[in-house]
Amino acid sequence: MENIQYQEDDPNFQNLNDYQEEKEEEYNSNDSYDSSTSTSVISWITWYCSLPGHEFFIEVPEEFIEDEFNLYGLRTIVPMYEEALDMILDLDDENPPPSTELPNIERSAELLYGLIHQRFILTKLGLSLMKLKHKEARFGVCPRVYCYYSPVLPCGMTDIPGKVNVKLYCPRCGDLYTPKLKKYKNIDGAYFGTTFPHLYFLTFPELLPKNSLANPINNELEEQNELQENEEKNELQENDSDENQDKIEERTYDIYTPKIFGFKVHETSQSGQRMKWLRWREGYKSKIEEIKSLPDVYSDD
Amino acid sequence: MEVSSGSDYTRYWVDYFLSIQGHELFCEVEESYILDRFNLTGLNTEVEHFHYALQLITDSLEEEIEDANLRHEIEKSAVKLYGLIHARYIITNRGLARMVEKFRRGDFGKCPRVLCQRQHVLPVGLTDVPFQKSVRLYCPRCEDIYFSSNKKHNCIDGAFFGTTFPHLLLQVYPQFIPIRTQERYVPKIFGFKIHEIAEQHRKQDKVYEESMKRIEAAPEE
Repeated sequence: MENIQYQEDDPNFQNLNDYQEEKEEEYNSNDSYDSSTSTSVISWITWYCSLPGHEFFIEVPEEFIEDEFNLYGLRTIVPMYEEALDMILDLDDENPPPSTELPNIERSAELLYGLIHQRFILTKLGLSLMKLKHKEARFGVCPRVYCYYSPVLPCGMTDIPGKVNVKLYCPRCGDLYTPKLKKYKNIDGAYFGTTFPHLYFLTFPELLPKNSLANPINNELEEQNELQENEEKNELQENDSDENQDKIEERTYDIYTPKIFGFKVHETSQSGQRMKWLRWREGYKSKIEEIKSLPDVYSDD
Repeated sequence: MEVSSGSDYTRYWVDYFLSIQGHELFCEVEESYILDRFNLTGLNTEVEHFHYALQLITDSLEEEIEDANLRHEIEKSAVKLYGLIHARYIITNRGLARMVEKFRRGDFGKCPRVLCQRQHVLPVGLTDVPFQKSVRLYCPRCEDIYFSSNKKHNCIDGAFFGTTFPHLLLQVYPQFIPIRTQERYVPKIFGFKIHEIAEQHRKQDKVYEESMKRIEAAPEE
């Protein structure tokens, strides 16, 4: 059965996830990370972002961290702030802290880096760095079937650290999902923040997928209406009808309809559809409605 | 896929099939159901090497098949045959009872949507024609379908569960229909709602109210 290829199930996006898993295995096979040993070769930030499960993070440039203004207010949240900051920036202290304190400092450094990360990805540079990752769908794709592999963005449910782990925001259905891979369960959602994905799409509106919640189908409908008007004016041309057909096949959004032996479950039934509103958006038409609304091009033949 | 080869040949075929990773979605079809030829109506035209495949499933294959190619084909047919019988079986009373037990245990997985709060899901096919689309998961709380997070499920055929199954199950066991709320995720930037999305949400609310009105106005059964 495995040699049967489901075309739809095997786009490049899924390979990306596989790639990440492979990478993780690679990491697991050589168990040699210790933040203390890696000081000279790679920076702490690079090391931290390359850990398995930390694929969502981007490397915050040192200049950003060195600017005290960007760290305003973090001193009160993060314990052992100075030591943690030194660790992130790989600064060697003249009198190093006792080794018993190291685990605590490491934890503080993680927290501090996460909070800096939350701030950094809202800056212009941070947003454009995240854009590179998003374009490659490195954060994964929406698990919802009728979003047709829309790339997602990491999102927090609260800005307070240590509350909820990271979630994924799909711009097409405008909903939050839990990440598919278990290694992301330990990543704090606050390290990305509640604002990031939404500010991202306000900054790069061109990246909003077609038929997304913030950018619903309206435009297409208008185009169709225009097409209809043109057709009425210029009489029927074969090209137009072809285009129309393409449009039906090119669906980028749909709502699932429960059916029993091909018949819709009636909405007044106990198990009927009650959540259609959740996926509904302006201009949505079911396939049947769409076909009905098409101009009757073939009746004249 | 190599089914029943080598040392495993002596084990029961169905047990072997169910023990494959990812096949925890399937339930065991009663042997009496498989042996009743009425339940297999029409499958002999659908499945190649029907008789051999049936014998393989019921562990009554008498002759050794020498030809490796033929054997491989029979094994593939057996998977298909078992899947199609499974699709029919799980919408019978007994099949539903078995599947509802698995559903309660959460064998099929959980909804990835955050607001569904790990609602148990049900397997569903997008089509009843075999070898078109792989299996999807239906969440009764948000009434939507999702890809499985288990990669192994990507090579299980959706037609082995059928389009009808989850909805029939909820009709038969309405006590498993979760409470559906009007809760939704509201995207916010620094605590402020986003204009375009808030507008859509208001329109969604209107759709919800209209449908609630229709449901309330409907005569009770």
